[in-house]
Amino acid sequence: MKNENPFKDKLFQHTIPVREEVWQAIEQKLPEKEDRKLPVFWFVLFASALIGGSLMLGYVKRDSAPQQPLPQDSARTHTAQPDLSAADASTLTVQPTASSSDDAIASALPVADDHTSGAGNTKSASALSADENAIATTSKNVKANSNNANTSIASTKNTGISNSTATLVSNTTPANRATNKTTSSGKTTTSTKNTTASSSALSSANANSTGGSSTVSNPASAVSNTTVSASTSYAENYVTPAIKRTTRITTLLPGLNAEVENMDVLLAELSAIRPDPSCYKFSSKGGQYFFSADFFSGPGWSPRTFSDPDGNASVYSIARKTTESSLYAWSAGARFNMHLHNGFAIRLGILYDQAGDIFDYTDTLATRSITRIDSFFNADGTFLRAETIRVLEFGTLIKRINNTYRHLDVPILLSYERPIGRTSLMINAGPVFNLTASHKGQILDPMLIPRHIAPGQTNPLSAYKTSLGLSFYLGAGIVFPLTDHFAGIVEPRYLYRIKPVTIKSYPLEERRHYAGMNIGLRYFFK
Amino acid sequence: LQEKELIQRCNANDRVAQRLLYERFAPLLMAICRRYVGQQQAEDVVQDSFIRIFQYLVQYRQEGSFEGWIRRVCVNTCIRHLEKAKRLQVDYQSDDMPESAVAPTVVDQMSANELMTLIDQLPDGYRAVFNLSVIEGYPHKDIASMLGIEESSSRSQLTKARKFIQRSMNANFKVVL
Repeated sequence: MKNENPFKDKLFQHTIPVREEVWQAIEQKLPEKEDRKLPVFWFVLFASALIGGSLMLGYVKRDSAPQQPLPQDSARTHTAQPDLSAADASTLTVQPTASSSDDAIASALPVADDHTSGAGNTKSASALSADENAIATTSKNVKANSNNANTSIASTKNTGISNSTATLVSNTTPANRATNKTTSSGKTTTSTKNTTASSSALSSANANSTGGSSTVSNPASAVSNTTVSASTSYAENYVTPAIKRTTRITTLLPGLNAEVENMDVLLAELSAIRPDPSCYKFSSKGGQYFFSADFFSGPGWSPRTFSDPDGNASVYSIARKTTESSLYAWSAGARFNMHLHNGFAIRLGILYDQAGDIFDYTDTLATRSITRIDSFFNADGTFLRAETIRVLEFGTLIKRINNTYRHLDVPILLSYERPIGRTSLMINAGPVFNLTASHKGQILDPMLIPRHIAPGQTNPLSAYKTSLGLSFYLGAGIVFPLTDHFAGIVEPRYLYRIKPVTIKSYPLEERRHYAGMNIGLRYFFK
Repeated sequence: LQEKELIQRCNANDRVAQRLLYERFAPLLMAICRRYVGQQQAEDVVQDSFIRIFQYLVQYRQEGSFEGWIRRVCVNTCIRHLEKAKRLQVDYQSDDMPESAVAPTVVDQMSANELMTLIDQLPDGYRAVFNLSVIEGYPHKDIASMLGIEESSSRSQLTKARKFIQRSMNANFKVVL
């Protein structure tokens, strides 16, 4: 049987070996395999580093704050004994109390057995030192030993009266001494046989100075003569006309930390301090809550995933991934904050984000029909005929279109802010409700033909929802004060959209999330 | 590897799959390019063909045979190459020489390489139409659109190509037509 087309029979499947160098040349021209990992890892790492750094900074600051190396027995509070009068010449019999307090700075040691408790003391004397405090216990005209002259706390000997306690605390600072203002508070308890009394004394260093010794007498008991003297040369007579409450005040300013009795003076001093805008405790009259507003914007990245619920659109999924690539993303927003007194805050705002993709499509087998009219004329110019020819052009169709996806959301966030120094660490989380979603550009349809996605365009592809429903917001960042009313905000955040952005009838499920950085300002309403 | 999986892996830029696809189709494409552009530039066009195949493989709609799609990409690459080199010149001169049939037994007795040599002697314009029509089997309408010529031109080029081959065979093989 004769072959009708021997050329085709012999050449259609004819093969020719190819040199290895051809593949090497092809491989060099092929694009490198893209290793596009989600930057979620870097996002989490950055947020963790930010939070960790802030915490570490806070703890370092806290550790570097002046601390008082208190002896074991110095953590005491003092009970005051009423009705101690300097006019009474009776000797005070004292015994330290055992109640503890973190801020207590002095205590009197029990000296009932007249033991020696300090170098240089002939009898029971104890001196305890702190940065600005010194504790001295003496008995019977023995000069107390004090390692620090700033403050002396003197307690008298327990002369055998049971169940009696006494502590005299003298608090002076260098500044106070310079201005001859010494605040000394003493709490003594004296009793005779199960009788307890306490006193508190406030006196000036230069008042009633007796040149190194002071005598506190208890007219009620008068059991024994006990002289209380401080190691400082300006020991004073403790005159305690009435009970006064001692308040330990810790302020943000160094040097002002002290035990203050006069609340009026304290309040006057505190009122002179300008409130720190980052400190919510000073930011409202009642201290219960206050308001602020955030305005922010920043770059981001909008990761998206395609899933094929029916399992028969994997090629389409690959085609969309191949023809579309992320180009940019950014967001902006504003929110109104109500700060509660315990560090929590409620935020309500508006959030806009926009993501841009590039739709890059090339069809090497594209055709285009062109109608061509050829006119023929005689040599004298007269018209002969016209031929209308439809020419089908074969070529490559290249489309490069910027797709845009816009979302407008309302976040309702619960936040917790923890002040660390002047900076606050904040964590925000909560639901986000989508108001509207819009999209513009072109993508491949399931038949792999480019089509518009914006409604109103020619033959649009209905693929995307116009409302995305519920999403979830998680962010962590820092707030740092700038002025009285303004603070800066840096907040990495992630918006997880629970539902796909595509409609149900679309063969693919496309989910689009958003990771970004909020950089902006916070305004405090005062 | 199944063809579908191979395509998916190639689309994912899997180099192993791409190499497999190359190994499977490179000899065939080399022969096609050899017929269209000649021995000298066949390797270059094979390279371009594979790069285009890997680049646009995602647009393969899995309609028809995969080999047919690859052949078409390769043929288009060859035509683009000829156009770029301005080697696709349509011969509008009339050839009054009557077309006579070549004894089929003569062609049957020729090897593929001899036929390739015979085709190599064709002018580029003739050769493209001859390959597209006789070997690839495209109708003149498609050939006209692919080459950007009129259908009648495609027919005339094919006729002239046949006459050219006849003359070559008469000269080379002393075949009595």
